[in-house]
Amino acid sequence: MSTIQKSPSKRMKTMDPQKLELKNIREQQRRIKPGECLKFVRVLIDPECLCAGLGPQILQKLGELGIKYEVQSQKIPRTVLWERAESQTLASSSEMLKLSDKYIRESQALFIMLGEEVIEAIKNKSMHNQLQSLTKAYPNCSITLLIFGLKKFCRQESTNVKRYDIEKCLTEIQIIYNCSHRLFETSVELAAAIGQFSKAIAEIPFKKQQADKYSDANLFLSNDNKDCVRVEGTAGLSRLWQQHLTRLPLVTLETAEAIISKYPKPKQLLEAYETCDDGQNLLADLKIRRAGGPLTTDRRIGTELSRKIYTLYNSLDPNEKL
Amino acid sequence: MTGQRIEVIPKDPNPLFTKWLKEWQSEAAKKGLKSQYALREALESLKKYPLPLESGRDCAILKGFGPKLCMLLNQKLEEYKEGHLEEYNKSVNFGEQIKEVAKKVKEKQRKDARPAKPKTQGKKNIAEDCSADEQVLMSPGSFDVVLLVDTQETLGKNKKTLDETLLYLDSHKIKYEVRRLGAGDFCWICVDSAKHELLLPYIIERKRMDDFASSIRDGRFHEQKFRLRESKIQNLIYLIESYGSNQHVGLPMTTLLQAATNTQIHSGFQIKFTDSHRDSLLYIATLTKILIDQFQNKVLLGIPKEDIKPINITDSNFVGLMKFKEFNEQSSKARSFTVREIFIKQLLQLKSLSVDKALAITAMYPTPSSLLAAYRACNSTDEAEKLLSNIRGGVLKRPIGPVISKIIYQFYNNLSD
Repeated sequence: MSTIQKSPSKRMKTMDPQKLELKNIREQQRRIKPGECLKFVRVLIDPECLCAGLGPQILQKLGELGIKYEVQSQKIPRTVLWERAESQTLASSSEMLKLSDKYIRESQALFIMLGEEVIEAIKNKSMHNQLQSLTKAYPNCSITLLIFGLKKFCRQESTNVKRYDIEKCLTEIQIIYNCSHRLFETSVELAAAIGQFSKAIAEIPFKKQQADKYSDANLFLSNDNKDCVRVEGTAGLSRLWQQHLTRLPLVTLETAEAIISKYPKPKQLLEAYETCDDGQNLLADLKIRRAGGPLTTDRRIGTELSRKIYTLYNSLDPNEKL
Repeated sequence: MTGQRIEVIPKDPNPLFTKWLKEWQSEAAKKGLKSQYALREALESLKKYPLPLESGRDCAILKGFGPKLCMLLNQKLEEYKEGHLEEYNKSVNFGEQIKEVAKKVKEKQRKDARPAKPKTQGKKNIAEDCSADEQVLMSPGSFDVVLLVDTQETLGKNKKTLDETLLYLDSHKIKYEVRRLGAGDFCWICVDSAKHELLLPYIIERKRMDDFASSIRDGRFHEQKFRLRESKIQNLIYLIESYGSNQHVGLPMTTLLQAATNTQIHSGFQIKFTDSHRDSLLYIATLTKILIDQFQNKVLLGIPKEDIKPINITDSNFVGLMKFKEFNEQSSKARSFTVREIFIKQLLQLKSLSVDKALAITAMYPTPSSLLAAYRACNSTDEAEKLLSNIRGGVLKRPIGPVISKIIYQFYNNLSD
């Protein structure tokens, strides 16, 4: 692979193993990043995919995105497949990477069909056979059908095939062979889709790493949401306090404001918990102000919510339910 | 014993105003005055308003109440107060009334609870436990496949969509029910004569192109996908519906198509594009018929979520399915969180604090309380400010750093700015 840095310097050899390992991991992380990752996949395109005037658009699109491709005959004509360079996900020294020029097949396959072929397959009930041979040829692959010019064909020709029959056939192969489909009327759209699949496939290792993080925590986490608070010096700390409080289910902005008006800083609430006898009910009678005007009525925080907030700040059991 | 929220809706929160408006309206009607229509409109909106209004002026927030009518009501109210002050005070003391209702409800609950108690003793106890995880087995022909439509799908923004949806399903003779679903917009259950409900492993999330764009923009998209995946339903279908020419949907089409493809490749969803709402309904109706075909001759067994295995639809005649109740309870948004989960979510509210860092901090200090105890054990402010800075997290083992460490210290320990 030309993109991987050349011979390791002498300095690296003397680096301690821990630092070396970290350096390797950092390099591997760089290779799976969106943008960079495209360099490590290549698209295998069966020559028949380039039929019906689709060729120029597809090859141009892949060129634009800087994705490598090979036009080579596949087990079943009209299929598009992907391979990933093993060196993308390998966390080892660059010397080893240079040796590993191995490509590994990805478990996605596209199959291109023309509109008239779909209609024909519905008429002579051969769609199931097609899918069976595809799943046999590419075991463990998810197959997606790219259909080109179906609407146009149906408009122009009288086909005797009803809208419902088409829907039924395509939905059946979805349920039985787990095969999604997409319809395209222009070659530009179809070529763009192959580009989208390539990008998504290139990012698999990165996205998998992120997803693992969430499944460890067993809840959805993100800090790129617009409500996150930027703190500079002490500016922003009070908004952060408000955001902390509203993380609890059922704590609305008004509820948080009621607590903050009595305890403007977390420390004040924590100290109150330390000195009072009945921490569980500390906040229960705190009045929640609603908007001004004739609708204004008071509401208490209540014992239930008071107890939850108390538990959050006083429990030492991380798994206690709130 | 956990607390309970009681909702009190007064039958007639504003008896005086209602009475006077009625009087005025009938007078106006007798005289054939045009004001009768205005008064009728005011009366209609007053009837819909659930809370007591203290004065004529307060009525101004309601439709149909102009400044003149409010003033008239105020005058009338003042006159009335002079004559019947005591009676009036009693009727406006809304708080007292609520307390009375709450008391009644509690008494009633106590009464209801009593006869239920013997059940929890002796043999009956065992019988009850059995029904909780009762064996549910359905043989071919003993069950119906019913399409469930989420209430969200029908509520809110677009009543027209609901009517259209239900009319369409009716006309295609599809059995359906509208329910609140914990995740997704459409799913299918098998129902037997004893009303047991097993969930087929298919669930559809429907998004019109503009909703799809806005859910990506505000971050709901990722959270929804996560929740659907957590449901462990084998086949997740993302149904993306065109909105007109898809030109004014909030995000460029290339972004949306890439997001859809990513959903297929990274999250394992099946993606279905449709041209219109009607087109989506055709798809759902078709899918319903296919699922009936595929499942009606199978033997179904209710099994817990953790035992669910992928089904190969064509070669198994015996399938394990999740109970609908379990699915709906577990995937509901309102599930309860643990102390650590909330703590992680709180930490993430700080802009520069990544998921990796929040997980690393809570691996060391899993509750706010344990972090605070660690602060107390520090010998100096300087030590406390740096408490978190060397904790490392993520694949790259990056440290939290002194800046974030200090902010968190100040957040929990400052008494003034």
